[in-house]
Amino acid sequence: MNAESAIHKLAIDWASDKDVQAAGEALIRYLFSERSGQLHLSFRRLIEISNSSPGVTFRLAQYLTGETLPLLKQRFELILDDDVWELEDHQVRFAAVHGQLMHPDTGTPVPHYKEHVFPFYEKGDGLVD
Amino acid sequence: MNTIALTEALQERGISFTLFSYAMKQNNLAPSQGWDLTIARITSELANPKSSAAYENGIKRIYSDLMYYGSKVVRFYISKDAAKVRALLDKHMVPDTQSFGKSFPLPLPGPQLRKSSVNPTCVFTQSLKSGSTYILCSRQFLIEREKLPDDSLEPQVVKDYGDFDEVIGIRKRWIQLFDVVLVNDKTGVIELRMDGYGRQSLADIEKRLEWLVSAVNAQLAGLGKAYQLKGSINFFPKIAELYDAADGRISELEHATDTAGIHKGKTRKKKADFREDSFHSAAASTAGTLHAYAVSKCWDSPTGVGYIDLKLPGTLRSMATTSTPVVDVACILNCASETDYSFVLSKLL
Amino acid sequence: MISTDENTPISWAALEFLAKSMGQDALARQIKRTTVSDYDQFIDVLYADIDAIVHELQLNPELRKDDDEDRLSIEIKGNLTHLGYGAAHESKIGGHTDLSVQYKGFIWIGEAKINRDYEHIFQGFQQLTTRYATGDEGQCKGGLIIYIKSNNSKQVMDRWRANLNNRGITDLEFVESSIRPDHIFFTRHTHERSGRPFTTRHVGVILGFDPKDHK
Repeated sequence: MNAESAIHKLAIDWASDKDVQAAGEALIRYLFSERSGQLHLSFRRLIEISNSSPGVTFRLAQYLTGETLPLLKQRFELILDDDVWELEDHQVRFAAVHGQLMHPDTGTPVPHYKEHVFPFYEKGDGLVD
Repeated sequence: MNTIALTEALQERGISFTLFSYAMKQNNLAPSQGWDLTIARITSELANPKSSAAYENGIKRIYSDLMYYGSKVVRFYISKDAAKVRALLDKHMVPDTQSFGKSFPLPLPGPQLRKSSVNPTCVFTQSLKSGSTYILCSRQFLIEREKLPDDSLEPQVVKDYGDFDEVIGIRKRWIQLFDVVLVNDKTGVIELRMDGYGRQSLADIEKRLEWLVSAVNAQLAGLGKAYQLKGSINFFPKIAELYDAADGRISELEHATDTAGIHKGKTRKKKADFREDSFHSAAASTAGTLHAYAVSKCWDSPTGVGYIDLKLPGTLRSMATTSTPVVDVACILNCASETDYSFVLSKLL
Repeated sequence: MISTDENTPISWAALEFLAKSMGQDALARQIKRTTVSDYDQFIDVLYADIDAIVHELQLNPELRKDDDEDRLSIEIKGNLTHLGYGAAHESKIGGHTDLSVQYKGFIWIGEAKINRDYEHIFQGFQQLTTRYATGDEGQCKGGLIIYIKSNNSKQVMDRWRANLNNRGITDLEFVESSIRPDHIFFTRHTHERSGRPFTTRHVGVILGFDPKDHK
């Protein structure tokens, strides 16, 4: 896959939404230009790169972490003071289902975890050679 | 030994839940989310005749492995004659039965712990084909700080003292640590594996380590000066080697430059390699020689479950003050089993 | 609220607030979707997503009054694609299914019918359970979406249920839905081809538009 084919695919799937198309093209071009290195993009950074609104970026990220154009993988990290813990899918899923996030080290619930957990985006399978 | 008591003891001892869950998976047991749910799961598996033996034996093995390996600050000595040292220590390291020994392998309960020794005391010895191990327990003082919820102050307190932006709770308590001495008469290596990483400062752990070295040397006095523990293995040269070796991933690096810079960098993910960080790699290629004085490296566990870390905690001072910089301890972290620990040793020795 | 401060990182809480405009629990569904690891988890979140899409469709029945089955199914398929599913309309899984969804190695098939009459809806059920779905593990759940363009959609679903019950289907059981119980129910029966239990989720989409006011 290359940037042009990805942009074309996105344009077909989002034919009725010009905002997502524009944001998608900007983000896809960035991702393909950076595909050889490590990637760790915050949601804020996605907004900047796609030059769009938070709402458009959310819809775009949802699509690009999916099945048809998997250019991104969504992950989450817990940040408390200056310490960072990347969270595994099963930990995040548990929190989404049960409303409690267990601290990776202490194994006890993190109070107000939603304020301390941040999404970030890695390369998806579509970008990995 | 009660399986649930062992599991609860691991939590009480501050073992990382992630490390415990990796240990469970390496032993084909199924953890749940957090300690409480996992203990509930273990309880239900123990009540099931099909799985009870697996969980009972597995948790026992995990407790032992995390006591011997886990996360330790380790110093290594090459012995003139490890067999002689072992024979002498086997004779003199008599397990305590009055204090720590009464409860071992579990930690002492609070009131009894407060009366126990602050110096490492032998509680268990084990003689194997390749060498002997000695487990020593001690009572250590811990000060824990925890940010409390914003609304945790009583209204009267707010009225008397005003509002605060942050409320920090300070807990002062005693904890029990489990250090390990290993004398391997096949390789001639003596290891002093100190517990407490992540709970005590490295300085406090090293203070206890020095006490232990003195105590062991006192036992070895009869053999003569040549058998004393001195001149431990210096890992400073290993720092550059680990950075240059392609395997594993550099997770943290501290280095100086010829142009008066001091740099500290780390990755925020286990799978990331700091050498591939664009900022670092560009700077490294410009700077030429990196005068690294501290490094952390991470590998996938050879068991296929979990990650293991090696940290060589040098300081700028150690590099600056002598012509032969010394890093005399290695932090061998997140080892869920002997397989993990041996893997790290193979990178180190 | 998403802070306009460029330096403020966007937390789970902030993203959840942002995503609310896209439907109830949109972020929670998205997280459950991206962390799917087994078939049941896939089905649970797919059904929650389909329900959210149906909810949106139902808000503007006046825009759908001239849409046929294909148009409506393409709308659902498009929305599922936007959510990240590999969704298709008339794909060649066992024939030409109205709706198929592939995701992380799992497959779900749905048939969609306008409530022309109950024989027509039953044709959809037969296509789903005897033609398209294999009934094997990982394909033992499917959906029948009923676009109800007449009034009293609850009655349509009740009558459809009764109609199905009288068809003599082997081992047919009905299971209540805790969500939209007047417009969603489940059936379980022995899938002929595989001999295994097959669960169908029957979903009524309220698209009746017959306003009485004079504009």
